Amino acid sequence: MRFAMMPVLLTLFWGAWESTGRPAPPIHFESGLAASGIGFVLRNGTVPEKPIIDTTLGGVALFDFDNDGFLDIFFTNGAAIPGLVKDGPAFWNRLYRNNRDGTFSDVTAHSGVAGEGYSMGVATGDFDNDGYMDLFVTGVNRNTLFHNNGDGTFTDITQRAGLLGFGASEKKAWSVSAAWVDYNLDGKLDLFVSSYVDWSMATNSLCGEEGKRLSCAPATYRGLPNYLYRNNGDGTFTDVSEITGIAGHVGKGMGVAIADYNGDGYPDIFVANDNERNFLFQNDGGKRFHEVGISSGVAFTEDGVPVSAMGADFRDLNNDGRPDLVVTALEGETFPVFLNLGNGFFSESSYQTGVGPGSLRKSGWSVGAYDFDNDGNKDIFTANSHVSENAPLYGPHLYKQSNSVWRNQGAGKFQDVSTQAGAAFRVLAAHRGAAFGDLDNDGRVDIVVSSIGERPEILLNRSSRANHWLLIQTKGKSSNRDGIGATIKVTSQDGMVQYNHVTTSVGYASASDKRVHFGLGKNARVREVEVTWPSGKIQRVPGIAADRVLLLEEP
Amino acid sequence: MKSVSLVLLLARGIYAGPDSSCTQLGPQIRSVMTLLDQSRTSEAQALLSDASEASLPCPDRLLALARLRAAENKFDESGKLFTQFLETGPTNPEGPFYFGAMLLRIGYYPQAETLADRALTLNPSHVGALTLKGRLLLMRGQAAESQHTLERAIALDPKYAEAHFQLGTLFDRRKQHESALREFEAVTALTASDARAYDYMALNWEQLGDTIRAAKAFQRGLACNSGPLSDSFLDFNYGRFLLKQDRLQESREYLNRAVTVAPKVRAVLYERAKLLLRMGNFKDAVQDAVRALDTPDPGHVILDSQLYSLLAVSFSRLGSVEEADKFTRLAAETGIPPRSADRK
Repeated sequence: MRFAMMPVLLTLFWGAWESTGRPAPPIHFESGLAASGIGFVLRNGTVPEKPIIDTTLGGVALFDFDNDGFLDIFFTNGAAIPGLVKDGPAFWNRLYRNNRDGTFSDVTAHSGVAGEGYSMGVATGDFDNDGYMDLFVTGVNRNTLFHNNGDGTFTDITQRAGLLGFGASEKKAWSVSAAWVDYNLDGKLDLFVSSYVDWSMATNSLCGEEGKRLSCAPATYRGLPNYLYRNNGDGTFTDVSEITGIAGHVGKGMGVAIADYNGDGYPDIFVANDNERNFLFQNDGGKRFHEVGISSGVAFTEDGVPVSAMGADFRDLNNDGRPDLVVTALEGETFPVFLNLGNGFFSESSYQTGVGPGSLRKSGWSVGAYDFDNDGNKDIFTANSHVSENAPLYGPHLYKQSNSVWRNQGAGKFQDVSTQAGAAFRVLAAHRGAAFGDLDNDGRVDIVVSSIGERPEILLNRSSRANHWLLIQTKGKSSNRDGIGATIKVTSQDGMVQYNHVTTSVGYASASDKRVHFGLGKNARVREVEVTWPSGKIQRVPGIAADRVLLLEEP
Repeated sequence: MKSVSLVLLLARGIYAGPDSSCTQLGPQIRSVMTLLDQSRTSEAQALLSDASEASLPCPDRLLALARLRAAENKFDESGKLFTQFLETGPTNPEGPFYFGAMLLRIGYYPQAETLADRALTLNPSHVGALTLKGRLLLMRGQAAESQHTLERAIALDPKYAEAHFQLGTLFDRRKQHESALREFEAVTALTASDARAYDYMALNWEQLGDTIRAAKAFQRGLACNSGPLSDSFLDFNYGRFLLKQDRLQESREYLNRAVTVAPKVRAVLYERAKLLLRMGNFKDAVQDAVRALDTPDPGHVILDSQLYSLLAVSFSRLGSVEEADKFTRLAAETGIPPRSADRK
């Protein structure tokens, strides 16, 4: 099925739907997998011992590697255990080029991104400002920087870039998520990497009973510090974890999300820690980071306890101009929503926002806050699954779970609409990574979700087209070329004001479209777009027609 | 309490004694027992007083009186009477059952279990004794045996509400919320005024994410929260629930009442501190949190680290940098016990 035909077919579909007299669901997705040609299967190489690594993989990236205006898909993949070697194509990471017609072509072999080792997550960003987005792939004791050559191929430049390990000894660590962020506002993307626990096959613990082993809890292993690499601008990086204060905090890092939470112009870094307090690294002038998780109120739930935090997204959920946090966690914990109160404080508001009850029985991994129905309010999607494959052998647990979507009803109140969002939300799978972006440029944010042992889910957003939208692509000049870190304020014709910012670091171990999406409701025009670039420049663009991709270049 | 110990020493030799009967008092005593089953203590007392002094040696009257004293929280006197009963009616399983139930109430668990076992030796199908035994097994962590025993009690008498209640608490502990709800619903169908069961129902609905049903169960519990089936934590739990719903003023009403009822329970003080923090009443939040910190919490329901975290945030909000830093440091340094090593 070609995308060109889609509007016609959708009109017929909605006409048929409406003729039944039923109101159309506000958020609706359909599976695009069958037509996509994507055959990727996320393989964790599991063995009866169930080492902890086999539960935590599955990063996905949506990025336009060939600059054709359409998002391509990158999947990370596992490896054989215990060798942690990709001993065949089944374990390759995979890159799929978007054919612009709903199908994708596997270009892994040609592009050179099959990778090595047991891969976990992915971060996307144009670190050398050459106009092509590069890939950083995290893994178990092996991270890889793939430079995008601009001709459809990538080159592994990890060693040359100084990213083989951490510190002078090039220590290896199990990295999960990573984020490209210009922390010192020098116009070059730096790299933050979250570290999980100190694990190796030699130190692997066994949990659960023989024959039905469970993934051990993170408490079994020592945590690790996270790492920050400063971009030297010459294709190399310097480990600045110590001098910036990042390395002084040991956690069990999973998801990473970036936003300027206190509006001082410097991007701050949130790290979701698994069963440990979360970290909020407040950026003090691009020189040092001050960890303020506890005093700001994001380290723990309102009950003062940590959750098994997995993924995170750091965006303004209630359109008050302050980035909020939504975090996934495990069954029985709820997915914490931390609303930014201003003045450096957050309030954990999972129940008040309505996310609490629906998340209580779910275990979540990746997460994203996007306006799926284009009504001007960001909704929430979570990719769900229990951690341990064998958990159901020990009690009333569901390993494979369906995904969730909460519709933002405005005023910071969410409603779980998963059961009405289409058959795709009834699929039970061991979901892990998820990336967000508009695959067909129809103005509706789609989702790609990985699942252990299965093909991914390509969730095409088929919500009503009644609402308008704007997709903003930033191109920095004195700021980094991607414009990562730019904050955007959109004022619609009717005065509705929304905020968002440019980031690719979203969810769990995944990277999403760098373009910033705004739903505009009934507004066919935008009164003004205001971009505050990382350089500090403020750009105001008045009178913009909706329903298009808008390229904004830094003046 | 010391004399209860004495009673227990006496209880070792309780099973030899004269057999006697009180046929003329039979109907009256049965009425007293029924009233005690229904927790109508004063009526039971009035009816029992009518029995003539001459019938004092009557074992059934002794048993009724022992139960009455237990219901009046006169445990020493009750213990003596139970002992006397056991001396005179050694083959009647009701004596060890009710004595065991009383000892369980006041924390003499091993002795309670000995008496439950004795009752079951005398009558293996004694539903009350099976329920008592099932409860004690659960307290000892033998959940599977407890479940088996309680299910046997229910099979023998599906209308015995207490067995359903105890089985419900077992499922609640195991986080088998649907099963727990089934049992608590059975309890309230049999005993519409069991506030404990409504409280548990609410908590389980809450765990299933159904806040509407949870709220209804809380309200039904509050409507009957008096008498022997009352629940002293219902105000606390409902106040906590309302806090989650962001119904702050209502939450305050119930949490204030909970603090009045249980001023020396750390969890209650902590919950109100959370409410006050949410309401922006930072000074009072600090006051409650400090009180909570000074309140012993042998069950480790609320950890010091939770209070440190709340104090860190409260002092930060107050702008008290030094205090905020102190409690931030304490919260960061104070370990939280890890959960099970398994992911299940």
